[in-house]
Amino acid sequence: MSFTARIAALEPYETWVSMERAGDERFWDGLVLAAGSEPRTTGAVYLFGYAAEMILKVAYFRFTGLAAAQDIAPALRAARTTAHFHRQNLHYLMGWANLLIATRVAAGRPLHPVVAGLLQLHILQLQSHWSEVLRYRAVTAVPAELEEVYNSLDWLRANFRTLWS
Amino acid sequence: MPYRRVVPDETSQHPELVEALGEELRTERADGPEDAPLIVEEVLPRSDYASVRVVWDRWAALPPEERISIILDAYQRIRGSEGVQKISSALGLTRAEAKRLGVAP
Repeated sequence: MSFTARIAALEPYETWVSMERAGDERFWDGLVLAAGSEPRTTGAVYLFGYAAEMILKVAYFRFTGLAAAQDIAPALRAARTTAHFHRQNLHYLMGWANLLIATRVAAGRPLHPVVAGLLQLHILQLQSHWSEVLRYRAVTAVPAELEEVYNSLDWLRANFRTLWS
Repeated sequence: MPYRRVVPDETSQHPELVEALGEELRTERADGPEDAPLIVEEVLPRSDYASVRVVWDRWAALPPEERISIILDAYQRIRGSEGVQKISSALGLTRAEAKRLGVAP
């Protein structure tokens, strides 16, 4: 059985539970690339960006009360129609951050403005270095760029529960 | 609406910055000198909350948390508790940071 066939058999559709685990896996994958004796900095930045994207998506799904076993595809399509993703795809990190902030406001449970501001700051920093099209680029990320991406992802990981609870 | 209380630091370590930013908030002028804080309020759709971003070089040496604290203190001073509770997010940047992060005015 091929890997994709095995994935389809084990996880026939995407859930936020599998996405949460995948985000954690991509973080550790990225850390291996970043911390090796010969760091693969662009690869690390690439994976760290996806780890951040998954943290934001899962925080949103968790906050909205999406069931753990539910297929997230309809919720992803619905998110895409909001103003937060105007002319952007679903890899747009600030779209997810602002959707989460606005959804919490609408629900009467806003984030503290300090937390929300720091969230936006870290997303801006991540976005300044990361895009899903990095996979097509051969330029090597310099250590300072990798460090900034890592620090912002570290903040997201440390504050994950605050974002959705 | 659930209760939410945001208490600014009454003993702000940067009262002069709070005062200067508050003055800018009070006047709400459309134009000003280069060294004046630029305040951008983006109202969230279908709400009376706003995301506040302030671009100002005077706080270049301060960490993000202190800049946010100054913003909240200034809003508290000028717009009161009700005004500060309608801030969904607050972010303080310098002009160089805003340019680097793609949010330059």
